[in-house]
Amino acid sequence: MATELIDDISKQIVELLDAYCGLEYVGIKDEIVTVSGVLSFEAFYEGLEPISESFDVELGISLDFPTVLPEVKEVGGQIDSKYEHVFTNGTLCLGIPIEQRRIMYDNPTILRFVDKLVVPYLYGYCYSVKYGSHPFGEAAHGSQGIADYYISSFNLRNCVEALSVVCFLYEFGYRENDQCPCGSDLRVSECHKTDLLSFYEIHTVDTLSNDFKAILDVCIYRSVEEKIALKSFLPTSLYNRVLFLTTEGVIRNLQ
Amino acid sequence: MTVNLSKYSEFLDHVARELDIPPSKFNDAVNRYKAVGTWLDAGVYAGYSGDLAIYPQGSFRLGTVVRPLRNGVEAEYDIDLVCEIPLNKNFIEPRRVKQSVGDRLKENRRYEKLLKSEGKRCWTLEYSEEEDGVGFHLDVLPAIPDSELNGNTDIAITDRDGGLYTWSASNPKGYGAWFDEKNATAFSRVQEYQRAVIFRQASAVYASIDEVPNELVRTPLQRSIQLLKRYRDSYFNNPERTKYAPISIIITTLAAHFYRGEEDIYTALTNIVRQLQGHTDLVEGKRIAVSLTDLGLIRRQPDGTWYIGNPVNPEENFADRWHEDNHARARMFFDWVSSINVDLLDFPHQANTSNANSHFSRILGASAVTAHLGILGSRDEVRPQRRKVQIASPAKPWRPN
Repeated sequence: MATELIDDISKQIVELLDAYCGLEYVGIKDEIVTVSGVLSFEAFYEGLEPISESFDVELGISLDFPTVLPEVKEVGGQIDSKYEHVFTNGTLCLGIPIEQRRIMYDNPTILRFVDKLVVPYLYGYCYSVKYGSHPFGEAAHGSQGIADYYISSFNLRNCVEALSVVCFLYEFGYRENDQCPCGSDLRVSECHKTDLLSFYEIHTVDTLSNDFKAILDVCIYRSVEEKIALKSFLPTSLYNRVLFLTTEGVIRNLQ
Repeated sequence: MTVNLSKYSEFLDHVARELDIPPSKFNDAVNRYKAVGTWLDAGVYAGYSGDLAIYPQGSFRLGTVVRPLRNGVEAEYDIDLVCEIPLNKNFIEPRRVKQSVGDRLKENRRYEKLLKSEGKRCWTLEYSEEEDGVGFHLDVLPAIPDSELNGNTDIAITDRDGGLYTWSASNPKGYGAWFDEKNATAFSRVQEYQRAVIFRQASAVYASIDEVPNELVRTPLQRSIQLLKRYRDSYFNNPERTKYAPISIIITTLAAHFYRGEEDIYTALTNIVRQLQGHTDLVEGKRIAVSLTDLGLIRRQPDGTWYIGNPVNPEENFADRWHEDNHARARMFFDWVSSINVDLLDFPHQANTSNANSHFSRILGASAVTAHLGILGSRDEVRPQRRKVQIASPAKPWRPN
């Protein structure tokens, strides 16, 4: 492990502890840095009621940050075990992976991770407990939530178009002169250039592969629901690409 | 360090708000009970004519709801509903009234599942938090009108003792109107402002300020009652004391009698508690201040028994069991009143308020208290400073499956 990398993570942790004085550095084990303690915040969101709260949290920060984002657990028992957005191992489910990565992309520091993802999550929890509805809305569970995120980010009509986009990213990465995968007859450079480029830059091989599988799942589910074979449900060219990507197990490297 | 009284009142107001039913839950509860009403109204009851009426009574009606503590743990809200069927008392047996409401509920598959075994007076539908996302007990009280006079709100309710059913008298609408009158001046003073605040805080629930129901507005009287009820729940959470806890209607009735329109909770509570305390000597059979004797709200009768009357039906004595077990209920009531003085009213005058967290968590419940200790100003000395975070374009929470 390059020492400069650890240096950089250390600097970021110092910055985090300065901002949230209830947190403490615990130690490092198996390339995971643990920080825990009281996360005290006063959060403001649009015109809604500001919320001041403190939670006992534990952050597991990978030395591969920001490629791998930290895992956060609430350890004070304040979050109701029935709250939906918690993994079974107690890790908070802060958002759809690609959305988390997008939020972090501009300036990927650990402090920003807490400010932009952890505190809003906890604010949303407090608010929803108090008022019964979530202030930011909730993403659909599982694969559907991922497909929806592509549909809304690229302004698509359905999951088939989302599959086409994710296939394109998975197979080719980013290609400016190809036809845009959204189904318009335009080239990428004249169509979804910005969105495709940003998704391409934000994704890792793993995250892209996960999203591809998730959106494919949604399409398969839809085709079963509509009692149409996947082969007829998808446009032929897309079907062939999916077949190619799945049977060959191709993992395109994103350079 | 002593605590500024207006800050302390603000703190008590915030705590009482935590004990209260939140707007979205209130909405859910109203929708659930209206659905129950519609279902009951569509049923067929031998010999009735006209419309069935379903309306809330008790704390839900009075705006004094407190999240109950069961064995010291925050539990589900209790909501009491009257189901008044227009039947003539001369031509129907109490058993029939009780059973026909029960039967009608059982005809609905959903209600059949939620229904608990038959109670003494009511049928309980238990909406659990997991199944329904709401979590409360809906007590449906079958009743019929008890007077043919126009405008009279007396009802007859059924009372079951084993297999035997008898009629009892009640008048929840009358009591509600009496309480509203005691509360009226303060209510009109705070109504407009509070509705605007509720709307701003629960904008996901209401489309406009007009939609915010008046039933969510709380005066210092209602807030004081909520705090007294929660303090009762924690004070009597003890196997030896619990059965002697004062019933809510005693607390509500006496507080409403003694309330003089005070504008903040601390002053309202202080006044109510002082007047209650003025009755303490009754336990020893001694005289109390003439002004209190004249009011006659808590009385010893010639035979030594106690009397606290229902303001809309003086024949009903809320304290009819206070003499039992060597006046245990009476004694503990006044012990409790004197503890309120120490625990709640004297607190701001104490020199050392650094133990605010453990003190208020113990007497009012940690979950209601913790978030608001900052108001007392004692917390920042020990707690780390909060980071201010402005949230913009947040991620929606998700879960993988």
